[in-house]
Amino acid sequence: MDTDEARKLIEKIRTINISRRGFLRGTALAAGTAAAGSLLGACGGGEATPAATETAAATATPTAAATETAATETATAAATAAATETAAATAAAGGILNYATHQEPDNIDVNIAAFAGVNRIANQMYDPLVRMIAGDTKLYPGLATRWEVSDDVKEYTLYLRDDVKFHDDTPFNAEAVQFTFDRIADPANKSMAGSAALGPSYDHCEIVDDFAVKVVFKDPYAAFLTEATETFLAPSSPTAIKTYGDEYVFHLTGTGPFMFEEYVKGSHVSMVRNPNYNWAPEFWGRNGPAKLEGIRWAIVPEPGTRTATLDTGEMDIIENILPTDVQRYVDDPNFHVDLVDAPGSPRVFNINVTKPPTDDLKVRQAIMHAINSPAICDALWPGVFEPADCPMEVSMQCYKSYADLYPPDPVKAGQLLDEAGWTMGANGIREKNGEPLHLIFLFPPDNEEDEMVQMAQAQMKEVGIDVEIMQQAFPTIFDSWAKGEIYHFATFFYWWNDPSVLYAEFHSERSPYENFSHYMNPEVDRLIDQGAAIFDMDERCKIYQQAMDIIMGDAICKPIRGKRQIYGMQANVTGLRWTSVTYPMLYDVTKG
Amino acid sequence: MIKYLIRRLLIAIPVIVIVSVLVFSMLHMMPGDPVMVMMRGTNATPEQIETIRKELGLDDPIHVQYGKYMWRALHGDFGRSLRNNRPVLEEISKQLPNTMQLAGAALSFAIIIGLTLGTLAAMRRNTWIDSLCMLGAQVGVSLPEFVTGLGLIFLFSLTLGWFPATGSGGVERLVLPALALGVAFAAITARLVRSSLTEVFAQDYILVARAKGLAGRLVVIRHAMKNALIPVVTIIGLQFGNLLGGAVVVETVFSRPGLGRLAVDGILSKDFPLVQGTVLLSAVIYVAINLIIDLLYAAIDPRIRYE
Repeated sequence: MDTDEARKLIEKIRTINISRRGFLRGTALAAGTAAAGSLLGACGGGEATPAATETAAATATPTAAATETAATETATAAATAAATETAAATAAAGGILNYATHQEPDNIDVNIAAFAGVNRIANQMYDPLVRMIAGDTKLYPGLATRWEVSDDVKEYTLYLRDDVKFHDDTPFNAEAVQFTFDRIADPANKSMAGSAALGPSYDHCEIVDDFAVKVVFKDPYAAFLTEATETFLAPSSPTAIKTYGDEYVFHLTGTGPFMFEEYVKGSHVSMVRNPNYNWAPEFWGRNGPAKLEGIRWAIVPEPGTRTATLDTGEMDIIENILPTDVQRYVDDPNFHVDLVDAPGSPRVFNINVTKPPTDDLKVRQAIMHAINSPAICDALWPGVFEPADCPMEVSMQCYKSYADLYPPDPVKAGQLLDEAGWTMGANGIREKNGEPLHLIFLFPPDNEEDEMVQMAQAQMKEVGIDVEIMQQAFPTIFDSWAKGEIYHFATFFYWWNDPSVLYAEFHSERSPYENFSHYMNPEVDRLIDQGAAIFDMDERCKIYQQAMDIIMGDAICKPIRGKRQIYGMQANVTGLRWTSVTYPMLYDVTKG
Repeated sequence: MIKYLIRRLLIAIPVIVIVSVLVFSMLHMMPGDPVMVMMRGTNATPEQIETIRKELGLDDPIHVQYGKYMWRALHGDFGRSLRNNRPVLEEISKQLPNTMQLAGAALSFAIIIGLTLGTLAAMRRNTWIDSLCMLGAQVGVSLPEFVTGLGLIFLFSLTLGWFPATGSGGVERLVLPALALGVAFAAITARLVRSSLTEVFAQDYILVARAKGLAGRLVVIRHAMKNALIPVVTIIGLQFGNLLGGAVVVETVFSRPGLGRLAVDGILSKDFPLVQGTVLLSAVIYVAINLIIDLLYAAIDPRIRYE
């Protein structure tokens, strides 16, 4: 054997061949080991059994109905048909509804929580004292059947229902309301949205009799009843809170049509039907327990995943469908979509009045003419969102159109900029004293704002304004907003069903907070404060409209589009209604 | 070996202290007020915000806040979440098993798939099988977890309907997230195993084993794999930290509860105690995993002994 032959032989020996059968056997063994390892790992997790039980429960109802149907087939034909119909109706009406929300609650105890999203869940387990529903500006009785307001709008006497019980059978009464409000107002409990809803001038709540309370404020507070439509102020069981203390968050006890079962952070909240519920508000047109057996409120932050769960049938209802997905569901008979108008402030651009050159009124007015809201809406969200033309949503009682004040007009925008001394440069950007007209648009990461801002940037470029887009995440952006030093534009919107929504955006006291324009106008402050102290809505609207006339005249707020909550659901889901701030009420929902 | 173990444990203490100081400092230097984050949109007055800040102990100087925190931590109290007032240890202990379950399953998938592909590529090196395996590895390491995750949901949930898209509990809800998290690590492992085995196959003792008449399978398992595994075991320790980080994205895409999401929510709301607790725990886990890896070397290779 020569050297080359030896080398080839060695190389052949070094090349290790395992037969195909041997390789496949080894791979199967390895895969089986991996599967067993995963199974053991799954068993080691905390939730295998409850989730499996929930999945079984979700499918148990149709299975039980089928069994019942089979059992009755031996009876007479008429009885069989009737029993089948009854069983099917019961099975269809009951069941567990799977709902997907986009936001993780910060604190599941709604009286202490900060996030509005907690309200969505709490709406099912708690009853507010007063009610407002979407598309209706009327205040309906809730746990309070009627109310009286003092002439100075500092005292509210609420007369309560006497036929209500908490989920732990504690009777609902005046003491429960006083206990709830005291708990919210106590700084030691660190209540966030609840204490803000009671307001800084909340003084105390006194018991008038077993079923009447008087809520007293140090200053006039016209928005109190509207605040009381949210579950942040909904009564909780004093017995449960005293019994469980810090652990109450695992034993939430309200009076609502559903009872708390469990909360798994990052996963879901489970609720079961309250069998004793018999105090539904009048707008439902019926009474008695809810139709659903229970709700599984899944937390699914990723929009793509959320829509996938609707497509696969894993979820019955999902909220916050992206505008780009709406048409697909509208066209598909297996689903339907509800677009619910939201109150408060629409999506707007606030212009910073403290930072040059947007401290110049003519520059701001030019911007108002340059940005074309209808064109943005037609391009980005045809048929989904409507253009806005007022600092308040079109659904608000005090809404007034300002469409004619700043119609889209690039020529007019150019003229105003010329008058302000900003002349067109050779590169298509205006200049003044050698400085380009360069503005900064600051906003947080938000699925719904990126394209809106980019379109506005392009529209302003056409009139010679160079806009730089800057994004900052929470919480850093709070600092930037508070200081108002680095940006000329900010995005803003607000969900609220009271015209006092103007306070957050335009009152000088809110300059370090939500008043991103840092607008300080004593006359506007006076009007907003005056509106907060008057109870009659027609009078309030006149005052708030005067304030908006000044605000729009000062060109600090460019409304872009109205807000809508978009719900997608399986075609067999019916009976969904919403509060005035578009939160779902599942009391009357059925599947089938 | 005992001396080595004690030495490593003692070194871990300053590591964890340094991590805690760095995280505490970075969180406080980051602009933004945690109370403002929580009270956003509530029209809270400056007085109400200041009251909440006092109740949460956020008005103390930073060094006082740190000192109080570390003193309590030494007594097993890691404080309470600023957002929901629950003990941090309780919050973490509820989420940790979910993340460890996910990371463990991802690691299992990654090792099995990586070892298999890498071994196949090494045995069929310079053939189309080798090229295909390495191309797959290249794609796997290039894809971000959220792309892989959404792609898996589209294929296996939406199109085929084999697995649910979300949630936790049950093997069926673990498969897709574990795959999404494990793909990149499997790709890295495959490449490393291939190059490691290729190097081992060129050694003389492998030639001797073959010359003695041992079957290919036995040569790989009994002789080649053990020596090829040393760098692979090293990478497991380093990659485990990446797995924990990648779990954040996968937990969000698949709506699984876990430590990753807890930490991110805490960072975005500047929940100091929660973030401090999760980072400290992650540091302890990382140190422990790497210590176990080091000890595994001695088990794999008898030549390695620790003094």
